[in-house]
Amino acid sequence: MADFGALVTLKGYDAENCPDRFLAFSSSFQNLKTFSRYSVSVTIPTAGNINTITINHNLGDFAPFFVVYNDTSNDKAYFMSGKNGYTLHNFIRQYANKLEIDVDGDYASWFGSAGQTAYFTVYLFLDDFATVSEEILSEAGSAGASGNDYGIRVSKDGFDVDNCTDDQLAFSSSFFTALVNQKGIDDAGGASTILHGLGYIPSALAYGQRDGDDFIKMAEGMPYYLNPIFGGRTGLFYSVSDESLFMGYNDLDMVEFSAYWRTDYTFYYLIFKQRADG
Amino acid sequence: MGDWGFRISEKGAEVLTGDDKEMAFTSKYALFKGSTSGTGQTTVSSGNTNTVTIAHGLDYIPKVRAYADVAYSGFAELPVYGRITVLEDYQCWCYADATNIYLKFYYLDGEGGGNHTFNYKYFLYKDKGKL
Repeated sequence: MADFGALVTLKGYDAENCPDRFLAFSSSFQNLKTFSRYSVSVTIPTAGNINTITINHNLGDFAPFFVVYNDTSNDKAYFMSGKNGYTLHNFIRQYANKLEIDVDGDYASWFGSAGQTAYFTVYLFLDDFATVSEEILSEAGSAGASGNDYGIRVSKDGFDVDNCTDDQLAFSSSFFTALVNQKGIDDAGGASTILHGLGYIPSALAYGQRDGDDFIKMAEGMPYYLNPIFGGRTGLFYSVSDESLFMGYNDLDMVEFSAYWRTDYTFYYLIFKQRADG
Repeated sequence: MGDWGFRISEKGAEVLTGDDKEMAFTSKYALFKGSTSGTGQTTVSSGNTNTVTIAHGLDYIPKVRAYADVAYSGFAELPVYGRITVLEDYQCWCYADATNIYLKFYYLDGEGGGNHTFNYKYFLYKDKGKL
């Protein structure tokens, strides 16, 4: 492949020698593209009942997603958690052509109380999990700090680039983006470790599919302590270190009475250039 | 709306005929955009919840995402909760309203009297957390 392409740095960085993570855009890397955003709501049911929100997106593939809970007051934005901080991951299923959110009356207090309306914002991304291998162009380089008013802005369809709001922009060199370092699908037959080669702790999105299911669920942040015999949590988890992304479904071995990583899960992941640790 | 816009293909993809998924950028679909990020640490005394409050200066409710050093190996994305040891519980989560973003850190030492220091990083996005 010839040495050509397009590259835009964040403000203050030299395009000639900018570390990858300070790029706003590069044709060398994929970037999360927002397929659609949805505002949805449902009545919180009483105990023993479940109300389900269904979003038919017809993407035809498992697509990355996340859900924000806007509370019953519709004026807050909890990332993948209820108002009490407990995770919503297990209530959300992403199929090839639809996404479902369960509001379970047994967990009504996580959302509000039975009879109230629970509001959500859902982001779906156009991208899939087709394998993209790690590629690092530059981790060296320095900022050439400048306060000059220059850069690139591209508005969303139907908005005036000269005076639209930041949220109405499709791209701006003023804002960092979700540049993808690598992505893929891993059926490790147990917990999965994906080396990323970045040398720092990156941000990531991880999902899992149990054998036989036709949907994926988003993985939660992995707790410290995993032995369910002594209070460790079971579930679909991920964590990131400066070497790798680690994903697994932690469960209780009823024979050995210890934790083990289930072997019937396939993992879908995106590792970004963004640093999560500094 | 006419047939105009801006698209840049990924390496190896044809920009004129390639699928939207093969584009590194297309004005048809907005990139997910962040504006600021920050790091810090907070030390929580047993039985308490510390709240880190950061003004975002936007006139809408943005999306926020955060990580903390509370994982089995490395950093974990918030929300996350569980045990640090058999006798130590913790819970971390984040949210935004129209004024601030909030990072919440709870810690409980079952033996009493302890505290725990959480290191965190947050990302504030230009994209809305509530449409």
